[in-house]
Amino acid sequence: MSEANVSESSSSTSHKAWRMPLWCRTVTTVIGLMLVVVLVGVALLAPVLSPYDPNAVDVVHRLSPMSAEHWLGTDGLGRDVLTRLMFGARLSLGTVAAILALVFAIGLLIGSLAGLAGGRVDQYLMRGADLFLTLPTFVTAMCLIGVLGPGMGSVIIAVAVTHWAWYARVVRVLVMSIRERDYVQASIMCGASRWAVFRHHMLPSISAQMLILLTLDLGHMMLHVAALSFLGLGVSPPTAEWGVMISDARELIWTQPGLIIWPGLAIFASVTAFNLLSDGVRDRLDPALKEMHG
Amino acid sequence: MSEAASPALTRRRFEPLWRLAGRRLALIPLLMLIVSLAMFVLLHLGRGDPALDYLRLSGIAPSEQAVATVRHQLGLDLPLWQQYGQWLWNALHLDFGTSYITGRPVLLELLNYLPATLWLVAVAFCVTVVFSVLLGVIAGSYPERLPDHLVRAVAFLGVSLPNFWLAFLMVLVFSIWLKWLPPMGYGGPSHFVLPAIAISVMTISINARLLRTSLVEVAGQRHVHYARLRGLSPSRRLRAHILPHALLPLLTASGMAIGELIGGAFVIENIFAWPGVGRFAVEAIHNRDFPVLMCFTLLMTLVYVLANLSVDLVHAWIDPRVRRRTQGPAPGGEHA
Repeated sequence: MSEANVSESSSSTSHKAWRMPLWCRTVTTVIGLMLVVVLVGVALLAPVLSPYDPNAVDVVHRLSPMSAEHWLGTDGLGRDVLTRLMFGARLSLGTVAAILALVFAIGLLIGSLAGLAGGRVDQYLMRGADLFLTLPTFVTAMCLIGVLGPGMGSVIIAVAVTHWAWYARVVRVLVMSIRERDYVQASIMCGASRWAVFRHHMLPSISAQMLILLTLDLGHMMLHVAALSFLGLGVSPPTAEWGVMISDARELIWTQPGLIIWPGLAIFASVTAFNLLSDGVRDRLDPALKEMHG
Repeated sequence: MSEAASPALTRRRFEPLWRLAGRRLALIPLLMLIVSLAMFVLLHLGRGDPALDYLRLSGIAPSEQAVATVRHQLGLDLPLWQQYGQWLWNALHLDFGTSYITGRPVLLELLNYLPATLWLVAVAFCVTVVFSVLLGVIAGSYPERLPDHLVRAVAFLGVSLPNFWLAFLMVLVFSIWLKWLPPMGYGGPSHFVLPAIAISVMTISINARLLRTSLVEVAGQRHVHYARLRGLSPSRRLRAHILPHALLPLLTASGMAIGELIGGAFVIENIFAWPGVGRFAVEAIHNRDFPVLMCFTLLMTLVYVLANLSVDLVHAWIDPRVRRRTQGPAPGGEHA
């Protein structure tokens, strides 16, 4: 109903309005993708790109300004800031990748279980998913870390546990819609077991769609990880991590604001990259996404 | 819509507000019970020994005898269900134990810190509402024009900004360079400006986008077309025919916003030396101060549930369709 009305209105009101051309949307997506590629490249090649050790303390050259040797200067312990940023990219991306894998696994497991089993099981699982959807993600993650004890493993688990629910719902809808397809019905009639049907007809397409959908939350998850490590709930201090770097430099804000600005910029840039990418995905999938949300 | 046709029928089909509130309030103890049980099991099955933590925090050498004494003292030698029963019994009498670090009653300690956090969240919530409506209306009134694109660009940056970094940047600019606002501390209105903005940028961005979408959608509906045909001015159309409908999804979203704001407050408190519950909790997590963690989680659950309940009640009061007993299409469901 509303769909029809919207198109009606846009045809009647937009005769003068300037619309963002489609290529514009594509360009922002490509920029996002390029940024992500650069980020991944830097993370992978960090030891090659930088001549320094991210944790090498050099008290003589502490707090040195930007120079040819130290492009972004050094921090309070004389460690090269740019090197630490590059190694921080490894940790950030690695953490997010681990969270993705975990969300993927939990979402797939619970979603397909609910979709395949149906009935009571489905009802209870989805009730649980609804509960997790309404919980405030950051506070819940913090409480979970409180239970598990601080550490990067806890951060990964906590963020994954607070983000799987929406994906489980998506998987459930996918499973239920695929089950009604003719070819699936045909293979059931040919005597294929439930597992075989799931394995051959559902898993491939569901995994592919989930991987695409997982980009939607990447930026958000990255912000969570950064904030949790800023609070000191993630890695312990000597490790180079963006949130920890900001936290370490907080006393130096009066004299060395760069030590706070650069790591923050790194977080901001990578979150922006992932969000650009996810906006592109969202644009492509919009009707499908709306259907799943409903 | 057809259900408005017969008032007698309508009245019976809608649940009274007080019943809705009562039903939801009755669920709170159950929720607290579940949360506390889950916390308790996870805390005690998780890694670490509370007795060792206790000794470490008290600065006593963990000799075998000391561990045994503390175990007995904290009731850790009892079976798990007995421990939980005892904890629950005490909790029902509002005794949540004493902090391992300060040795003071946990509940008093937390209630001491809670007001600062709640004030911050309340101010940030008002900021969120005002600015998301303002920006959303600007964007939604000129869809696909320059103001819309500007607002959307700002909102895009807003959801990508780490709030703690934004806080530092603002301290840098407004406190250190311009010296307009205090860089930290808790006190008068000027102390609230930076933390409240830092927390609410994310929720403003999310809600402004939401309102924009919903405005554009409502503006395309038939009653708005009809209003235009009747010759109502654009501002009148917006006020009387578009906004009342378009604001409903925002109301639902503001329930979520409260959760986001509380989470943001916990991070930001650390930057501004805000004497709030978040800073205390982070310290408790570091020290594995179990009684504090239990009480903190329950208190936050309560705050969040009550905040959400009030949002839902306002929603149900404004839009009685929410209270419909039969499972019809939820209002705003089209926008979700």
